[in-house]
Amino acid sequence: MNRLMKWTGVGGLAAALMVSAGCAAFRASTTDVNVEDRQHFGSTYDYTDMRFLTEEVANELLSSSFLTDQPQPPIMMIAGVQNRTMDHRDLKALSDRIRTMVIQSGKAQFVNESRREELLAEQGYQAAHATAESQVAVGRQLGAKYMLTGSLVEMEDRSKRQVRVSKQQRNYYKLTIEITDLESGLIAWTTEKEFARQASLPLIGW
Amino acid sequence: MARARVIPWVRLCALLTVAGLGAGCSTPGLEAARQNYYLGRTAQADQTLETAKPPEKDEVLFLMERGTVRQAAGRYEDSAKDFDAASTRLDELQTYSLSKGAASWVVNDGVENFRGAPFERTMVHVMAAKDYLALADWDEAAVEARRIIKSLAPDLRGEYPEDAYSRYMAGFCLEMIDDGSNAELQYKRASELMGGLAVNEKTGRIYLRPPPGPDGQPAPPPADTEERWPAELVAFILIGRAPRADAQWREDWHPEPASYAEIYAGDQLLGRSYNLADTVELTFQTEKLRALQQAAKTAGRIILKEVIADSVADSTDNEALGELVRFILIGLLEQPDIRRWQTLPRWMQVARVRAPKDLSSVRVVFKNSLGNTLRTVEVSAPITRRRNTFVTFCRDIVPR
Repeated sequence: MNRLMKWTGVGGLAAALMVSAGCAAFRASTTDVNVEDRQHFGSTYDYTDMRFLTEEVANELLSSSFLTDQPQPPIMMIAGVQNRTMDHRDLKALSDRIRTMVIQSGKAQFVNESRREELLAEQGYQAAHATAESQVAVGRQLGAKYMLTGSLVEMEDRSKRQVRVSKQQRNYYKLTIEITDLESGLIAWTTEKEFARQASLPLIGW
Repeated sequence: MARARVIPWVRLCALLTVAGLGAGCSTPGLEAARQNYYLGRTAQADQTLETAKPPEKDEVLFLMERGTVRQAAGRYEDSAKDFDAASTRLDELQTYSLSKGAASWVVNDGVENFRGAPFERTMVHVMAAKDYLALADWDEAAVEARRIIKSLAPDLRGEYPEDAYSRYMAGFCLEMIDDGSNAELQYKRASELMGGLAVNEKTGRIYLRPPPGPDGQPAPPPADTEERWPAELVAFILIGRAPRADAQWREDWHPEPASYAEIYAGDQLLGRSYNLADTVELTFQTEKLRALQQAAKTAGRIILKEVIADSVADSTDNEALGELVRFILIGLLEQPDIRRWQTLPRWMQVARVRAPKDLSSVRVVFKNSLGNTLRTVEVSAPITRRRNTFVTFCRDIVPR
């Protein structure tokens, strides 16, 4: 009888815990997240950092004398941002976002260097199959005057071996963006943005 | 009353037996895939692993093996994804699992998550770097180089051995993205680990280390290793197989001389490969370092199992049941953890040789340590090019 009561008590307690937790462990759920909230699950680069860095760079570029002193919106191309971190990251997303913000400001124009093959294929197709009045003219593309390049660098530091229950990890990132004059080879504009973040990781888990 | 006390213990025995048998089972199909792989049937090995579902505790091992098989099958992107997933999982496993740790004290070490030896964790990135080199994705190969360097840091590696091949791979990937100063550091460290061989830190060329000068100082690199060639080939050559799961060594074991490969373009001998890592030796050294820790844990576990068996016999007044528990816990479940990355090669070598500017294929002639030809493989893929440097890799498995 005593044993029965003991097990009933344990069962009741477990049930109460599950109800109070909303049975979250057994339920799938989705929630929309505001992409502008800077919340992180770790110390490494994430999408909120991509948004933060691109906005900082684009705003600085748009207010720079390099762009404001140009008589006409200059034509630029993107040669890529080099990944010098310890993780495989899509840094094209980063340069794409900078390009979008600059184009939308109307202060610069960009050639679509990553779609050149498709562009030439379409021109070739039109030359062979489209009516003369609707064909695009060949050999009329505009050349870029400036090239945008950059690199994202990461440095990591970890707490050393010692008696502890969690591990501290700190990651530092620095994004450098450069705009090079394709004619002279001189760097016409450059900027750096950096941030560091620390996270504590448990050494013992269930 | 005694019967009522016996039943829970019998249930416990049954549960432990099931748990133990589960712990002893490897991923279905993994052994068959390994055998197919070593017979040169990479397509079958790849197909077997495509649909296999590994138990959670063996996920890392499975990804390591599948990544290697997919690389041999020429599926470089998928292979890189497997190695990247293995790396992510290894990061997660830095958090010690209390439940699996406790289970390993009652069952055996096979119930714990497989993390591999420190050198195997480095090799995850070395193998991934090769995938990116094959894809001519130099920036991503350099990411793996940084991960190799991180995994070899003393606070992660501890006292466990490091190897020159991993250092060379890291240096080469950094050289390919023009990070010369960091490449030199890696070549220098590789050189320190290479015994009778050395690496020119500027050019990455491998040469036989000249004897030290009369003042005991190391001799400078020969002048011809400073020369920059108009075109060169860097071939990563993999020979033999990593130790089998049940391999054991005598205390005084010494590695035998390595096989090697000669590289030809047409009929022209370009040069030979040099051995930079021996996974059998790395395993031997790792196990030597682990032996004391392992023996202490095994002794502690057997004592605990004896205590459990005795308490079962005492609490049930049933000696036979106590013996049954002892037989299950010690006789059946007490097994060593012999999980290893078995599709790794034994010898990991590099040939850095002068090459024709229009190189499109090479002939790799594998030779044993006495210079006798073992087999010849024609390699036309992967051959990638970065400015005047061609990159290729080859394993002495003849595809069937």
